[in-house]
Amino acid sequence: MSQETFHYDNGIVRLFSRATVIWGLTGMTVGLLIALQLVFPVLNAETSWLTFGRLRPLHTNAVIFAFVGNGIFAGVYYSLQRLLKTRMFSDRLSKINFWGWQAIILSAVVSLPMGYTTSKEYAELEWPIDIAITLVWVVFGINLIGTILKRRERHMYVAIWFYIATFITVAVLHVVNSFELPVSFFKSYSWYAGVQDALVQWWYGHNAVAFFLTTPYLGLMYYFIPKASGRPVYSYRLSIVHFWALIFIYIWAGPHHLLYTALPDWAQSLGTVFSIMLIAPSWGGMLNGLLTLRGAWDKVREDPVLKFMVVAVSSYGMATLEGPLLALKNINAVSHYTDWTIAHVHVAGLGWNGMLTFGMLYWLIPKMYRTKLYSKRAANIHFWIATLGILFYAIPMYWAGFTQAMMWKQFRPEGMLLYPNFLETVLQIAPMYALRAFGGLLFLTGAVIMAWNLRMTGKHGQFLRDEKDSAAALPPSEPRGKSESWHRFLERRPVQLAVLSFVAILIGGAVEIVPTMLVKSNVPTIEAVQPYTPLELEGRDLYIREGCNNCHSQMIRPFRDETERYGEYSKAGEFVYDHPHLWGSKRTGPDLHRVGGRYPDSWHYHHMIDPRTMSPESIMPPYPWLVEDDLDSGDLERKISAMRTLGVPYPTGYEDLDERGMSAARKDMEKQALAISNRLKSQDIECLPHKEIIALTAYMQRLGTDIGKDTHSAPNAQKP
Amino acid sequence: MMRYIKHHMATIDGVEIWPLLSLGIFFLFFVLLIWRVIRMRRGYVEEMGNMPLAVILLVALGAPNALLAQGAQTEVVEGAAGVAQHFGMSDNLWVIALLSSTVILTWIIVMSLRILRELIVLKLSILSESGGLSSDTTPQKSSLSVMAVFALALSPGSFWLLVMANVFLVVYLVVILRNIKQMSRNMMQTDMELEAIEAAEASCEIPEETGPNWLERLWKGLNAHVEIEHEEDVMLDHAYDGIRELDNRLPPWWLYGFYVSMFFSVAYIFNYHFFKYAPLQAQEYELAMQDAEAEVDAYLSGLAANVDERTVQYILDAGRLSDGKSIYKANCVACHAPDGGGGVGPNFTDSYWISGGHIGDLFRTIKYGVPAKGMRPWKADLTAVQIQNVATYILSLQGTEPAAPKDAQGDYVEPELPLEN
Repeated sequence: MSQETFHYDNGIVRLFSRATVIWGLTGMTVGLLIALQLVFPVLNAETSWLTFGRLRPLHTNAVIFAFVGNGIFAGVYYSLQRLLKTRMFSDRLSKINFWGWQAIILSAVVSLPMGYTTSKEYAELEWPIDIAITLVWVVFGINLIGTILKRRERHMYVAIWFYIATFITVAVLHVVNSFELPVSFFKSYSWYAGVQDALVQWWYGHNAVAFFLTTPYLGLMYYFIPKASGRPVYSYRLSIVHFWALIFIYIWAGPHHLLYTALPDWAQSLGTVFSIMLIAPSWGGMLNGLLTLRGAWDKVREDPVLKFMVVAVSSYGMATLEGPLLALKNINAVSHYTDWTIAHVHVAGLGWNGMLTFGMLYWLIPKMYRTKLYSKRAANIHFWIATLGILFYAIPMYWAGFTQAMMWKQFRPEGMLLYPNFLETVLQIAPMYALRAFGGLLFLTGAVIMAWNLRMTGKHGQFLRDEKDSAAALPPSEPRGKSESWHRFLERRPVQLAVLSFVAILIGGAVEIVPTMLVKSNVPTIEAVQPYTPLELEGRDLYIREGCNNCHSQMIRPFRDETERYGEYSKAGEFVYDHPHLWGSKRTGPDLHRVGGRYPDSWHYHHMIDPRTMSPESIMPPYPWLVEDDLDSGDLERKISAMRTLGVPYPTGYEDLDERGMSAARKDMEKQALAISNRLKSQDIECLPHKEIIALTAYMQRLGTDIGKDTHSAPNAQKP
Repeated sequence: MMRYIKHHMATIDGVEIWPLLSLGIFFLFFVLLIWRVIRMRRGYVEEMGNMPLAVILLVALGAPNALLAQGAQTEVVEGAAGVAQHFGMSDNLWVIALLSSTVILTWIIVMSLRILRELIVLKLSILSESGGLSSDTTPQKSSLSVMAVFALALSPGSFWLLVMANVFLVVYLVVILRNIKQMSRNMMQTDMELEAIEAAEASCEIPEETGPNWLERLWKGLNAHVEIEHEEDVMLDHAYDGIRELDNRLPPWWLYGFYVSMFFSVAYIFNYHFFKYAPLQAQEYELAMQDAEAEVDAYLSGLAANVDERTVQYILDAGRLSDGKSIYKANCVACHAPDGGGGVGPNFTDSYWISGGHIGDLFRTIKYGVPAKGMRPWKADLTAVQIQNVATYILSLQGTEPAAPKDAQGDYVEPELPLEN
């Protein structure tokens, strides 16, 4: 067979590596800032785009999609070419992939602090960006599949199975979860409502973890650990079993984010049991990674690259054992809504994704620059600082999580809450928040050292843009031989493997989502629940804009302490008009589902201007602009119309303009706003009816009040 | 389906059909078992016969991997395959047959566990009735099901027989699972690979007389990897950019852990959704609330002094005032100002009151709130004594001079005089 000579494209790998470092530093800095905001609320600076609620999505998006995302591309573009003995399918597509992805990140950096958000966790970006993500992802897919098709290696290595599964599943998740109806260029409403929206969201959210933070990184692990250690992969069979088990089972586990919520019991139970069954497939990956290092532990002591990878894989193992345990009902009853979850995700995020990325970069950059790492000592320092950083981060957060959960749940013997004031439980763990910020600072410092080290490595080396290699051309494919196992056969059939993966990942989602959508009994209707009034709808959009859902849940679980603290537990039928749902996943502040009618309007007014006037020592940011800014209700008619399209029963013609250019909806809105303004006036507060605070107050006062009402006399004057 | 059968059976006479049915299933099971043993390859039977008792015990203790480490597994594979050939079945069919038998077995195990549970509950209730214990352990109505009737018919001897049968069934389930694993492994491998593995496994086999102790053997069995010195034997001919792959076996502890998690999952679903032993969340909430109510009632009825808005009295003493003051600082200052001068809420230093100015009125206002005026209820946050103390403190503020007094609201009320302490 004739040898063919070709060149690997290192240029694109370098671009993605640089982006990984730059966005990693950015994302971690934002993370450090919001961690500090919880200790020093003054850092919210009374500036809308600097508040915690807007920056928290920026942090998560930056570290997931910018840092890890670019890390994935860097690793995939490097390993794919070499595993298949070919250059990437198209240099142009590689470039489009790179610049398109950076453009998406930049648009996120601008739009999220401005308050353009869908509120759905890890899918906050608005619809135009969603479309851009789809396009760039397809470009990546074409480039990936094209490269596989023109390969010179007959069989696909396990890393490539994971890349294929990643491409397919992320595409499915992103498209299904991003179904939304645009109202304007910057605003859309989720196609799904309430329970359904929550289920789709967490099917997505959970599997974003699975197929963006896990499967591609397992692929990278399968390439970089054997390469860096020079050891053979421990077990080919384990690769096969854990790959298929992992992608099949992972997709089912989403509902474990919604235990004890209004999600139907059967779906919750499926989430729990598939989480438990996920332990072994996840650990299969960890075992194959760690056992590959058998006989290379002396190298691990010496080589910083392997050190990073060992901590990464161990963190992966810890997080994937902890995750399923958190999916058990009795543990989730304690852990959910607390910092325990934050600790859990950071063990995985900092440990698994962070450390593996660092290890990969320390190996990759010297290779491409044909030199040695500039300072091994600095890399070792980075390793220890980062490891210490993870500990300083995780331990206080576990502590905080337990403490707060226990404080929430304690009762006096007389039958009242021991800590009725939510704030008391927050202040108790404030020192833990400070320690956590210190841990984050350590981790960030390590990353800065790495950036410097890699830069110096580049300076002292010579970049090899096109790396030469040669391999025999691929002979025509043969039918399956008698001695060839079916999986071995599948490994040289990329299309079949992709189709099978597709089928494997569809089953779980379909079994859970389709019945929840179609079977009526899953969401028992409550007659008293009515659509939001136009003013409340506008207020709800402000709630979304400010990212209130990042700290406040709207889902009271059926526990004695929660019904005592917040009121009757939340029912599925109460959320049927919630496009999107705002259940939240973390209680940095108290639940708000039944806050309606709890405080006078004046309380909300003062509390928004400065929370500390109403709750001394509160760590909530002040929102003075809500009082100063006029409500922009220009899209009101379009919003009503969009909601009707989504199935919210506003009366026909409600948004139609009359001869004076006014709609019935707008008249209702102004009437309700005036009523609130007058109520405030009676409490000695001058506030004009067209200010944002009026709309937000209307929404807050409505929250959770419907089920207490008589079915036939909903007191909202403008009951549509 | 379970519920349908249960319901149906409960309504017909002659529930003794249940034991008969179970007997039938057991009978069928043992016939199949004997059939299998008879048709089994001789080598396999001998291998089983030669197996040391310790190994069988280990198997029973849930570590069947130790057996694998003894090098018996190749025989097992051939044995199972041999049976399959006797039946004229392909490997695939055989695996399917084995898989369905695991499902049936699991079902049988769950059923008999259920009977056991009913029996235990019944026994407990009989004990508590005869012993005159509290009614807590009395079985609820639902547990007096067909199962319970059946369970009641069992003698103590058959109870333990049932326990033994259960243990046996579980062990057998594990063995079947192991066979499935071997079979599917067989199907996955090319002949060449199989040879390589056999060679490798032979190399990790250690002679009995000089071998390591049982703990080390168990460890080896649990991990089942080929030693690094022999890894060339299991090296596959794969090479991707210089990366090679070994063909080590799935670590048995991992594999059986995976099986256990599957078993747990089936049991979990059956427990919550078919047998409904464990309460779902709405019911769980009701139960928790009932318990809590009973607890609180028991506590309160044991308390001598239990003030409320009718019985509360205005008694000034230093302890009460300082407690009242700290409660006030923690909860009231946002609306009524630290010095009682008022803000969102009314001024406390004048003698004008919106909702009454006597200690009982204050007690009621604090306890239930006046939602129409913006005053929230505090009964969930403060105990009766705490409400009394903070009301006392508030009354004591009358006549003091706040920094920024709010205008008087409500009606004038003659200040109440404190009772002598």
